[in-house]
Amino acid sequence: MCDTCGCNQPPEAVTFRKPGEAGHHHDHNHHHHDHPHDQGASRTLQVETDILQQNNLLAQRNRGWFEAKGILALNLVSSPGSGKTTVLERTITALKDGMDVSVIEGDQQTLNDADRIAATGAPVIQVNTGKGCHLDAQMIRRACDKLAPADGSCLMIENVGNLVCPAMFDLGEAAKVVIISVTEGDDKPLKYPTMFAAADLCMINKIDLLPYVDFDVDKCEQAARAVNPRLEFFRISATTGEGLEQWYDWLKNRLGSSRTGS
Amino acid sequence: MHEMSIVSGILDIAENEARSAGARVINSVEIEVGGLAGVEIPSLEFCFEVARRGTLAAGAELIIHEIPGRGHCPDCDREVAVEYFMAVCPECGQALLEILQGRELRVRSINVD
Repeated sequence: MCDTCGCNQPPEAVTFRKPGEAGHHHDHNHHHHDHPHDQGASRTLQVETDILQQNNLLAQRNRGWFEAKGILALNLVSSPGSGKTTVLERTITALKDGMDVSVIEGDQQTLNDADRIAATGAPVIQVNTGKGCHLDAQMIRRACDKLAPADGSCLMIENVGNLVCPAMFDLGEAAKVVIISVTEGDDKPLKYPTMFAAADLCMINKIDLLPYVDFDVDKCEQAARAVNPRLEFFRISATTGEGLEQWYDWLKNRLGSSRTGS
Repeated sequence: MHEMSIVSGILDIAENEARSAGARVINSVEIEVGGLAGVEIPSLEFCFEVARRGTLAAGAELIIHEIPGRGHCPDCDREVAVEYFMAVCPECGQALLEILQGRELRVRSINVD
């Protein structure tokens, strides 16, 4: 089992790599299991423990660490192919002069996304989750040990492309940003309500393709508001840059609050 | 498939409790799963079957208590059933519902020898 989440794979299945670095294995403690055959009197033990407690505790530790260092940590979630990496590439390049951005890339396999981010000059670490479908708080802790994000910087955590599982696992982020593209269905917020209920900001990407697809932006926002009335929306195109100014302003404001601890 | 992670969490909690109580075998694990917890019960059962192998709970029964979602509307002060995430009160159609229960994901007890 891997550290906190399991996913029924050995811990060495999750790897942490920087672009240009060969993969390597870490040592971990392995569970030891007894196999007794003698039986005593059976008894019931009251447990009353939250199943996600271990992850939630680690996430709170991460959150405290980010707050102490004035780091704005954002958890970017979406279906595969919504344009998370393209949004990041464009954002890092646009804000290069005023903001330190580092990135944790989560994918099941490959260094492809980390290579794209590395090309922008931002520090990046790729977490390959193997068969795992989400990042967890322990992976973020270990990735941060290696990445060492600067005080007062912005840490973008690009989660595994999946609208289901990442909703359950707090990483210690300040906010979840959900990205949906207009090539998906406009009823997606109703199909995957848990993620939209957990998010703080929703970016509707690829709006340059609206003339070619049957996607009703108002209907999508309405559906998302039905599960989360506090959700903010930005309509953007990471390809043309349309609408990205409001996202940059949002980032600058949030980073300002992180730095001053407000 | 985060159900596998959830099951790993359940088994870790159950094994730790059993070991600290000096128990050697876990006969059953009783859990609470809220209707709004985002967990599929058939997947959870399937994952438990697989993941329990080689643990103290290798032969354990998984007893699942489903907790239905309930919310309170601060506007009309009614308590209503909540079957999925929604913000609008089905009674008055106005306010933002407060979720009272249904997000549970908890190990309630274990039975051990």
